[in-house]
Amino acid sequence: MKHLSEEELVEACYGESGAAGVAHLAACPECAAQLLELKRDLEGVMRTEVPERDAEYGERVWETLRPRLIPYEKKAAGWQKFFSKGGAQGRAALLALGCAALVAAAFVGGRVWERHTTKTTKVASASPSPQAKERVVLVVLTDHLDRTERLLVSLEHADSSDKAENAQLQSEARELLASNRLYRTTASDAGDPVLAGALDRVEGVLAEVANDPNLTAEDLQRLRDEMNSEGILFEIRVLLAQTPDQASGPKPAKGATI
Amino acid sequence: MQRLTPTEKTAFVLRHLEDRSMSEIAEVLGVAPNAAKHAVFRAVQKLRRELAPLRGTA
Repeated sequence: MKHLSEEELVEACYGESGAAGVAHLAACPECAAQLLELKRDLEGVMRTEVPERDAEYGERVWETLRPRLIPYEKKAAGWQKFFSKGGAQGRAALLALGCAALVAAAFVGGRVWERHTTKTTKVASASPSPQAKERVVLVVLTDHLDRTERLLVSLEHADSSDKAENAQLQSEARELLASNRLYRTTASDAGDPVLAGALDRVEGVLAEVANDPNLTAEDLQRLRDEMNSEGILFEIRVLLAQTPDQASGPKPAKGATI
Repeated sequence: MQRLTPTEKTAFVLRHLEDRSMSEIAEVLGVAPNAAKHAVFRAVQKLRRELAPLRGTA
């Protein structure tokens, strides 16, 4: 009979031997005795309970580790070395330097703050003067009159067969119509009957051009007659000439005359 | 226990104290099950050898 090897006995000790091993152990008292001895040996190994860690466990571990640690020394920078070597004088110099920096920062900050607040106050208190308002109105009105003049000149020479040109004229007339109403109302409110009257007459022509679905040759001729009889284009040119920027320099003649 | 190698010690602790199976020990150690079994065997063998004098006195 072949006895179990030591490895097979260890397997049997942990209950991992096969059926053959179990059968042999049941039949062989010698192997069974060895297994019993093995179990007895292993029972004594590390069966002690691990004690609970007390409150001072961490402190004890730290005390054990502390002597093994390499002390860490932070390298001082050059200026720190200078001041540390300088002792009391160095510290005094450092203090003086810090104070000087603080004073300089406060001075610069004060100047910048003063400038900023002055600017803000100026911006907040600045309101457009009446002259400035008038200049803006004149510039806008001049631009409107200029565009109106060009439209009227184009209308004077418009060809009823050119659909693309007529569509462009109508588009421009629609834009001018909206702004013209605004300027006419403003001029009327401001007590300028000459300008209000001229813009009113222009508005009639613009409305006809803008709202006519199909500008025929008869329509265009009627509009020309209306413009000529009322002298609308001439009136616009006069108004343009009366505006300050027009008066400062002669404007080159545009397009055809009435 | 100090005579055991780290692998043997781990294998023995897992098998004897934590009652883990050989396949689990093999997974923990990252070895084949036969190698884990052999590590446990070597650990037991070493321990018995070390304990032999004590057994005689007991």
